[in-house]
Amino acid sequence: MSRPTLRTAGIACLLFMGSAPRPVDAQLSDPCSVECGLVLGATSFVFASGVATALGRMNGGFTTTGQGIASWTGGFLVALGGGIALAGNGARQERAIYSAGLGVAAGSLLGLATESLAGESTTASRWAATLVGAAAGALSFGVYGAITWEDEDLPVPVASFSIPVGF
Amino acid sequence: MSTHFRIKPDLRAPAVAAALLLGACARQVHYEPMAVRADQAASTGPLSASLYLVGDAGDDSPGRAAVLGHLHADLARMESERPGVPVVVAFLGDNIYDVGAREDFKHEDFAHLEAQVGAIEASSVAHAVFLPGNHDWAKGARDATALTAVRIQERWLGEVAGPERASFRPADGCPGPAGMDLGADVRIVFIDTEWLLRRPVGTCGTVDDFYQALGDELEASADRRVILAAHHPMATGGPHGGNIGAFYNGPFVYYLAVQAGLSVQDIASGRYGDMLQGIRGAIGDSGVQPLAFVSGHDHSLQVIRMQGASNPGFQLVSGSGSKTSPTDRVDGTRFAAGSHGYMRIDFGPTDSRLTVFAQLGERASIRPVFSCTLVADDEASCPEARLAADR
Repeated sequence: MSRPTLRTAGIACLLFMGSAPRPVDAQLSDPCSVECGLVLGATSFVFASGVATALGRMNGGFTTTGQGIASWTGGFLVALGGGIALAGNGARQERAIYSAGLGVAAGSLLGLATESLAGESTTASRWAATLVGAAAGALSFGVYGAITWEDEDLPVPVASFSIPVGF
Repeated sequence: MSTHFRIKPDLRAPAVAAALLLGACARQVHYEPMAVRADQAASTGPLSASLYLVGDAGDDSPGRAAVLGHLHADLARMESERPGVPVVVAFLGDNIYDVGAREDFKHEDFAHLEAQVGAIEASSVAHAVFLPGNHDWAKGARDATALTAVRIQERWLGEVAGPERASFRPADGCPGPAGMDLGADVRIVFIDTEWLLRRPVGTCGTVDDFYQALGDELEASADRRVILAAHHPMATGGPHGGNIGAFYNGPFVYYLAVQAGLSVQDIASGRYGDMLQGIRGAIGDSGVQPLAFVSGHDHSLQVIRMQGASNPGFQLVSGSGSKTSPTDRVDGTRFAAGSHGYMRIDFGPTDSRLTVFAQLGERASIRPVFSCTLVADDEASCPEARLAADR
C-alpha cells in the first residue's frame, strides 16, 4: 500500500477512534440497534461505491489515487453521517435506514435493467449502472423514509423522484 | 438495549455464505508446458534479430532475480552462438516500484535500474529500451509529480548506461511514437500509454496529434514487421481486465472499482477504451497491421491472438518480471501463465518465432515453456497450447 493511502487511512482511523469507545446508542437510538446499524454500514458502502462510480466514469476514469479515495470516502461519510444524524429519533432513524437499504435493492435493479435494455451495454457499464442506481435508490428512499417517518401506516416507502441512468 | 455490536447466531450462516460467494478468487488457467529448447530459433533458419520482452521488473523480489539471471544467461548464450545478431531488450514499464524515481530515495530507486541494465551486460550488442509504466509515472500522483518522476528516471538511465547500451523511449514524458529499427526487417514503435490515459497538459501535443503520428509511423514502416510496444495491453485475462477476487486489495471496493471501470488503469474504464479505439483507428487508417502489441501491466505471461485488420496480429503480455498475478483465458488466448518469466521473439528473414520463458512452480527454475511462429494474417499460426488435464 502506498504512503499516501496509508496516511489517509491513518487519519481516518484517528478521526473515528480519537475518542473513547462509546455505546451503540450514542449513534443509534432504540429501536434502531445492531441490525439497523449493519444495514446503515452496508448501505453507506454501496452509496459510496455508487458516488465514486458516477464521478469516476464522468471523466473516463480516475487518473490519480487521491480522486478515487476522496470520492469514495466522501460518499461513505455522507451516508454514514446522514444515518447517525437521525439518532435523536430512533423510529425515524430506523425507518430511514431500512428505507435506504430497500432503495439500494430497488435502485440497483432499476439501474441494471435500464442499462441492459438501453442500447449497447458492456459488463462495466452494467456494473456502473447498478452501483449508481443503488446509490440513487439509497438516497431517494432514505430521504423519503426520514421525512415521512410519522406516516406509520405506509407499508412500503415509495421513491419521490428518480434519476435516469444512462451509460 | 445492548451497548455492544454482536452478530446474532442466525446471521452468521448467511454472512459466511455471502463471503464465500462474493469472495471467489480470481481465475487462473493452466496450460501444459511444451518441450521447447532455448535455442529453438536456430533451427528455423538464419537469425536476423532478437527482441526480449521483460515487463514490470521494478520490484526487488526473488522472482526478479530469477528472471534477470535467466535473461543474463540467455543473452550470454546468444552472444556465443549468434555473435553480432542485433538484440533489443525491451523493459515494458513499471521499471521502478512503487512510485517511480524519487530524488530523495535515489539510492533505493536507482538500484532497480542498475539491476535491469546489469542483465544485458552479458551481450556486447544488446540494447536495453525502457518505456514508462503507470508506476514510473508515480502511480496515481498528480501530473506534475508524475512527469518529474519520468524525467528523473530518464536521466538516471543515462547515468547507469550510455546511450549506446540503453535508452528511455518515448523521451521527455511525451507519448511518442518513438520508432527504432531492429535489424533490417523489424521496426519497434514505442508508445507511452500512461500519457494517453492521463493526457497531461504540456508541450507534447494533443491526443489527436499522437494518433496521427502513430498512423504515419506505421505507414512509414510498411516494408517491415512492426512491433508496437507499450505498458498497457490491448487485451488481457489478468486483474486489469477484470479477473480479480472480491477481496483483492481489500474487501469489495477494489473489485467493484475494476468491474465498473473507475480507474483509467483498467480496461473497463472509458478513457482506456478511448485509447484502444484510437490505436485501432491509427492501425486501420495506416493499413499496416503490426505483428504484435507487446506490453506488461498485468503480472503474467499471455499470448493472445487478436482479430480484425485494425488490431495487431497478437497481444503479448510479458509483465511478470518481478511480480505475478492470476490470468484467465480470454478470446484468442494461445498460452497464459501467472508465473515469473519473460519472452523472446527471434526474427528470421521471413519468420518470427516467439518463445515464452516461465517459472512454473515456486521452486522450479525458469525454462522455455511455450513457443510458436507469429504470423499476423494467418489464423492458423501459433496454435493454442494444451490445457493442463488435471485442472
